[in-house]
Amino acid sequence: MRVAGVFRRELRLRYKSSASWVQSIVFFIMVLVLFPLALGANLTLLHQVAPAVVWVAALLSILLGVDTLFRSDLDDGTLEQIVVSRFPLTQWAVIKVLVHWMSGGLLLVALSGLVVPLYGLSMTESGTLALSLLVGTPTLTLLAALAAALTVPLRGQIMLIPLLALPLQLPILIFATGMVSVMQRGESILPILALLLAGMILAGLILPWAMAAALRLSLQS
Amino acid sequence: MKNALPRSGTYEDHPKAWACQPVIADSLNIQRGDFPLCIGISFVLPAGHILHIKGPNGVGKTTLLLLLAGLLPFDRANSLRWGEVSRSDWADMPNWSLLYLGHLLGLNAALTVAENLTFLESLDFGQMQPDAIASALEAVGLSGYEDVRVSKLSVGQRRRVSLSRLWLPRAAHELWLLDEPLTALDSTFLPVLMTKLSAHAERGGRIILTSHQPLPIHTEILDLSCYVVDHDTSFTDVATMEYAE
Repeated sequence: MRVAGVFRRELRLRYKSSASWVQSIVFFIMVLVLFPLALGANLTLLHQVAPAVVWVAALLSILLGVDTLFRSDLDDGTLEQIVVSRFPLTQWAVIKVLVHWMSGGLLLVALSGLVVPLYGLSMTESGTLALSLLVGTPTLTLLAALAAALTVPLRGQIMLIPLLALPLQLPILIFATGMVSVMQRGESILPILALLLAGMILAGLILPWAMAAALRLSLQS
Repeated sequence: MKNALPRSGTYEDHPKAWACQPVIADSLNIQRGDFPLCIGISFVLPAGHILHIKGPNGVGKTTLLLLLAGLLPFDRANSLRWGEVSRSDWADMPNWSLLYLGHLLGLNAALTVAENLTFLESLDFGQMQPDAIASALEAVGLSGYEDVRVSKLSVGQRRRVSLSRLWLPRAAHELWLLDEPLTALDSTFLPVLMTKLSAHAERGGRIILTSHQPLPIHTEILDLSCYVVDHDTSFTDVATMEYAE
């Protein structure tokens, strides 16, 4: 019951402050649309670069929107109230990141269907790409959120977030972009899928605690 | 629900036995960062009492409240206890909860008054009766403001919204920690708040608050300037100067 209340508040806040997350979605769409225009009508080239472009755009769009994730809650004292209350801080962090992912990563999964008209990918290739985003973006979002939690007391140091998160996010990017080419070669995508899923589970199990510890520390500075 | 408590099987038989125990500070030290502010603060706060923390600016009143609220770590684990239970285990006491109203109000400016209050209460108690908010807002003189966004309210009105949480049904909130609750309030609201504070104490609750103004109700007084660390800095000089006036 308490979880539902917290979840509703986060959804409502997303709805009311839509500018912050729509921005990173628009960024993703812009990169996807501009690449074919700049590269020209070379279909084989577009076909080859499509997974990489989509994934780099997704990674940057996730990093772009994450810096405000915990900011207002620290500034207006909501974080203090949550720490004082009996509500577990880790659970709150999970809900926060989940709602953030729903308005970010999940939309990117749906929007990745744009590669069919823009880059000439087949429906199965586009499906594989969407699948890789579906299992990869939660991990990316969790890692970015941890960087956001660590840097939340340092106002205006937005550049620290990519510096902290990117090295940890790179393996996901490398494996996930390989997924489509593995499928195109006719091999099984299951090993890569399993790896990405394992990464997601591991991140989901460990990072919320790290985030809660970072947020607790941010109150002491 | 965890009921494990150190050295006491009795709490499990009597879920609210802690309510009769005093809150004890036993030579508590306050520091901000690495800078020690006060040493050796001791007090005993039984149920039904109000503790008024006094002292000049910068002496550590807010820091002491943050320690009590569990927002800052201790140098010695056992220096703050509830009966036998040290601060880090307070949250494990059955049905225990506290209300902390600090300088930051915990109100999100984009949400309405009712949405904010529902969220803050749901953190501890889950669902709440909708008319509870209406009557709490009426008590602080803000009836009809339920669906107004917090960003549209004045500073004093925001403080009233925050204080309206004292009127919400919260029998379990035995301990209230109020940091400068009189800030930005007009003179008509003061007696209302004072009546509420003494009513809570009469019901067996306890309140720890900071304020620079003398309060017209019966309180125990803890003057932090008695515990200030004697530095060579101008810090203590400022303290004594203000008290000489």
